[in-house]
Amino acid sequence: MFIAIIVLLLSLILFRFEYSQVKKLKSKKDKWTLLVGFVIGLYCAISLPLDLPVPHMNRVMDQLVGPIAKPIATMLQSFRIK
Amino acid sequence: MSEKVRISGAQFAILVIMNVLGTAIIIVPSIAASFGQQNGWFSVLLATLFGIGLVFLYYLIDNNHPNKNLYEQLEDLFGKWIGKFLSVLFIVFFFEIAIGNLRVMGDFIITQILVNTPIEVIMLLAVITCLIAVRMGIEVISRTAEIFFPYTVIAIILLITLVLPESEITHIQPVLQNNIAATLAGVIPLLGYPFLELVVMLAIMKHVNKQKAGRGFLVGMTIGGLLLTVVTLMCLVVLGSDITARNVYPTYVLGKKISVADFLDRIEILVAIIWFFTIFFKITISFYVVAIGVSHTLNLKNYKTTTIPLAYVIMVFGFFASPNIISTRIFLSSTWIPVSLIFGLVIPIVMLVVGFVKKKI
Amino acid sequence: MSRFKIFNTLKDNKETVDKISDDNNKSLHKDISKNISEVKQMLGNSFDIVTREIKIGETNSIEAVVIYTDGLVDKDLVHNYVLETLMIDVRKAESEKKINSDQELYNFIKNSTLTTVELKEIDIFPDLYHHLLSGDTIVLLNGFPKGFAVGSRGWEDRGVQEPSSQQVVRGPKDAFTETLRTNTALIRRRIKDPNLWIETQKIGKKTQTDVAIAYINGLVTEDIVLEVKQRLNKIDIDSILESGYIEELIQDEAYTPFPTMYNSERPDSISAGLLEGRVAILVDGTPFVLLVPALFIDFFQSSEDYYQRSDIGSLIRLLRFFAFFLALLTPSAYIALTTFHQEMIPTTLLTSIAAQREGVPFPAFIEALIMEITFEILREAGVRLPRAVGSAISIVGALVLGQAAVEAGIVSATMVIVVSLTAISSFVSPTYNMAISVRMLRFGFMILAATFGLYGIILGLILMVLHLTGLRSFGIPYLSPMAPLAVGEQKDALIRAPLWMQTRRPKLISQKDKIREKTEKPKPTRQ
Repeated sequence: MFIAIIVLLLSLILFRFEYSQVKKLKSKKDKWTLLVGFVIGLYCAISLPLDLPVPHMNRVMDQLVGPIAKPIATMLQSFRIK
Repeated sequence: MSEKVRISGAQFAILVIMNVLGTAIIIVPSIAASFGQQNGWFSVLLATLFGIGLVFLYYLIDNNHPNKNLYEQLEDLFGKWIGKFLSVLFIVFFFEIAIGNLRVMGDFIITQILVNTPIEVIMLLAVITCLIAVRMGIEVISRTAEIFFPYTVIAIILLITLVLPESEITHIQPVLQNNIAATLAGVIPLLGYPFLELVVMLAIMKHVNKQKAGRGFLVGMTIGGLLLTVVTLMCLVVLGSDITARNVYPTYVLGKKISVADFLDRIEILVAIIWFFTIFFKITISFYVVAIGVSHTLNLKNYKTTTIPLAYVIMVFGFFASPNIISTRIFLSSTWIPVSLIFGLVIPIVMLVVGFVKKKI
Repeated sequence: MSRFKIFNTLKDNKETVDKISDDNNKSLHKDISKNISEVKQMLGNSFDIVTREIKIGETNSIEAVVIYTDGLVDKDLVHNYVLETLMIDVRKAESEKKINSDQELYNFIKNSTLTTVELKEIDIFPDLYHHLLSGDTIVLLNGFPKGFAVGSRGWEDRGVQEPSSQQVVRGPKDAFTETLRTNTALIRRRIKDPNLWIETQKIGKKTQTDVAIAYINGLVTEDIVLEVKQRLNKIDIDSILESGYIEELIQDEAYTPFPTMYNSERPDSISAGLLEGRVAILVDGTPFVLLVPALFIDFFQSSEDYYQRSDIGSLIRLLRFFAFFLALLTPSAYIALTTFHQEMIPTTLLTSIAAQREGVPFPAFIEALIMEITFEILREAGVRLPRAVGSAISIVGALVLGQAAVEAGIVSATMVIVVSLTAISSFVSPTYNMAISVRMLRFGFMILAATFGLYGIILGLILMVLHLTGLRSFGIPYLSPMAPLAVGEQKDALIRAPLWMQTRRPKLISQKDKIREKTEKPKPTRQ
C-alpha cells in the first residue's frame, strides 16, 4: 500500500512534467492519449504492489495461437534429447 | 509520427547485430544443443542462412516504399482500416519482443549476477534507461550503439579466445553424422528467436539510405548470425552437448571457464555485463518501434507522447510475461514459432505480393 | 499621506528614467562651463575624473577643458601630446598669424595640433562618457557644441606571462592577458593571414564589455559564425565579467555536466583551433578565450601533443582517456566488487582486503564517500589557499587523513589507494572543466554501484553515453568523430598521427579549403 502511494505520487510529478511538454504540441489528440495512457500506466504501476489482475502476455498468446502451436511443439518435442 | 533523421549504413548494421545477439546469445546455445546435440552449431548456421534469406525479403519490401516505415507501408498496401488493424497486430508483436527480452534479462541478472535484488527493481532500472534512450530518438540510439559496439565484439572475441585452451574437439565429433533430423528440427525454434524478430528493423529502415540499408542489413545479419554460431560452437566444444543443453545460460557457464594466468578467474560477470549492451539495444529498438507505431496509428504529433505510459506498461507486462526462464523457453519453442512466422514471414510475403500486384495495375 | 508620498517617489523615479532616456542622444552644449558641470554631475564628482581648464592662444584666447580618467590614461601622452601642444604650439602658430578666427583655431587643433594616432570628434554626451571611461582624453572648446576624444588609453596591466592553467614542457610559454588588444595581437602574431577577421561588439549594459569574435574567413563555416553572432546578440545582461558568463549564456544545452565550449589561455591552442575552422570568442578583462564548436575529444588534447613526437603524443592521449575512465569509475568499481561481486577479486587479494576491512565500521560505499568528500574538500582548500600555507595542507592531507585515518581504523588502506588513484587520474585531464564534470559524475556512479553493483555502473555508462551522443556544440555532434563514425578523422582523435599524414583539415568542423598541407613523408633527399 505504502509503495503504491509513493508510486502514485512520483507518477503525478512525472505527469505534470510530461503534460507541460505535450501542451506545447498544441494537439488535442496528444493530450488525450497522454491522459488515457497515464491512467492505464498508473493502473499497471499500482497493480504490482496491490496484486491487481494484469494479463500475462505469454499465456494470452498461448491461448490465441494454441491450436497451431500445439502440433509444432509436440513435433519438436519428439526430437529433443530426454 | 516518426522522426526525420538519417542513420548511416554502418549504424544500421550495428543495430541489426545487436538485435540478433540481444538475449539470444545467452539462451540460443542451449536451445540448439537440446535438439541437434553435438551438431547444434549447425542448426544455428542453417538458421543464419535462413536469416540472410529473410534480409532479401525485407529489402525488397523496403525497396517498394523506400521512404515509408512499416506502418505507413501497411496502410498504403491494404488501405487505411485493414492497415491500421495490421499495424496494431504488429505493435502487439513488437511489444511482446520488448517485454519478453526484458523478462529474460531480468531473470538472467537475478539468478546469476545480483542474486538478492528483486527483479522488479532490475527491470525498472532497465526500462528507465530504455525510456530515456527512446525519448532521445533513433539517431542518438544508433550513435550510442556505434560507441558500444566495439566493446561488445571485443567481449565476445575475448571470451572465445580465452576459453579456447579448454576446448576438446571430441565433444562435437562425429561431425554431422547422427541426429540429422533433430538438427534440422532444431532450426525451427531458432528461426522465431531471434531471426524472424528482425522484422522490427522494417520500421526504422526508412531512416537509412536505400542501398546502404540492404547492405547494412545483410552485413549485420551475417555477422550477428556467425557470432551466434561461433558462440554455440564454443559452448559445445568446451562444455559438451549435454551440459550445454541442460544449462539455461550455457554461455555464462562458458564464461566461468575463463582463467587468465591463474589470477583472473571469475571475470564472467564482466563478460556478461557487456552482453547487457546488446540486450539493452534490442529492448530499446522494440520499445521505440512500439512507440512510433502507437503514435502513427493514433495520428499523434510526436511519438514522445506515448513513451512514458508505454514504459509503465512494458515494465509491468514484462514482469508478468512469464514466471521464470524455464517457461520462457517453453514459450519460445512452442507458441512463439507460429507467432513469429506469421509476423516475420507470412505478412511480409503478402505485403510483397500485394505491392507487386499493385505496381502491375 | 504616506501613500501619496509613495506615489510621488514613484513619479520621481519615472521622471529620472525619462531623463536618462532623453540623455541617450543629448548633444553637447556650446557653453563650456555647462558641459563641465554636466559631466561632473553625471559622474557624481568621482575623484578619478580629472578636469583641467586651460586657455588656448594669447590674443584671442579661447577657453578649453581637458578631461580624462586618472589611471586609465597614459599620462605622458596626455602631457606631451595634448596639454603641451594645446598650450604651447598653438601660441607659436598664433604668433605667426596663421589663426584668425575661432573656427580656424578649431580646425588647426584638429588637423595639426593633437599629434596622436586616434582622434575622434564627438558631439553627444553618451559618446563623451564612453570615450572618457574607456581611457580616452576629452578636449572641449568653449563655443563649440563638439569636442575631441584623443586616444590615450594606457593602463596598468599584467603583461604577457606564463599560463597558469595549461602548462607544457615544450611549447610557447606566453598566455593571454586581461587586455583584449594584447590578446588579439598574440593571435595575429601567430597567424599572419589577411583572412583572420576579428569583429567586436559590446555586451553588458553596465559594463560595456568588448567581446570579439575571431575567425579565419574562407576556412570557417559561415553558418557557425552566424550562429555565434546570433547567440551573442540574444544576450541581454547588465554585466560580463568573464568569458564564463558568455559560455553559460550561449551554450547549446543548459543542463549538462559536460562543457560544450573549449576555453584556453594559451594563444597557440586558440590559433590551432582557428586554423581548423573554429571561431574564437575573446572577452575583454579575462585571459580565458572561448573556442567553438568544441568536441568531446578536444578536452583530451593538449597543444603539446603536436610539439612532441607523434608516437609519444598518441600514447599520452590514450593514457588521458584511460585516466578519464579511472577517475570516473575506480571508486564505484571498488564498491561494486567489494559489496556484490567478491568472486571477481583474486582470492589472495580478497583475503588481504577483507583483513584490512575487518576493523572498519562502515560499508564500502560510506567509506568511499567519506574519503572522496574529504579529498574534494582538501582540493578546494588547496586551490583557494595562500601559497604560504600550502605545505601545511599537504601535510594534513598526506599524514593526518591518509596514514592516521587508516591506523585509526576509519578507512581501509585499499580505500586510500583507490582515492589517491582517482585523484591523480583526475589531474591528468589537460582541461580543467572536463575534470570538473568527472568529479561530479563520479559520485553518481558510486551511488549506482552501491545499489546495483556492476549492473548499475553499466546502466550509468549507457545513460552517460546517451547523453553525450545527444549533445551538440554549435550544430556539431559532441561525440564525433566517434559517433557518428568518421574514419578519416581518426588521425587526430584518440591518437595523433604524424603531421605529414594529416593532410586534410577536420571536415566535421569546416568543409572549406580542405587541404592543409602537401608535405611528403620526410626522408633524405639523396639516397
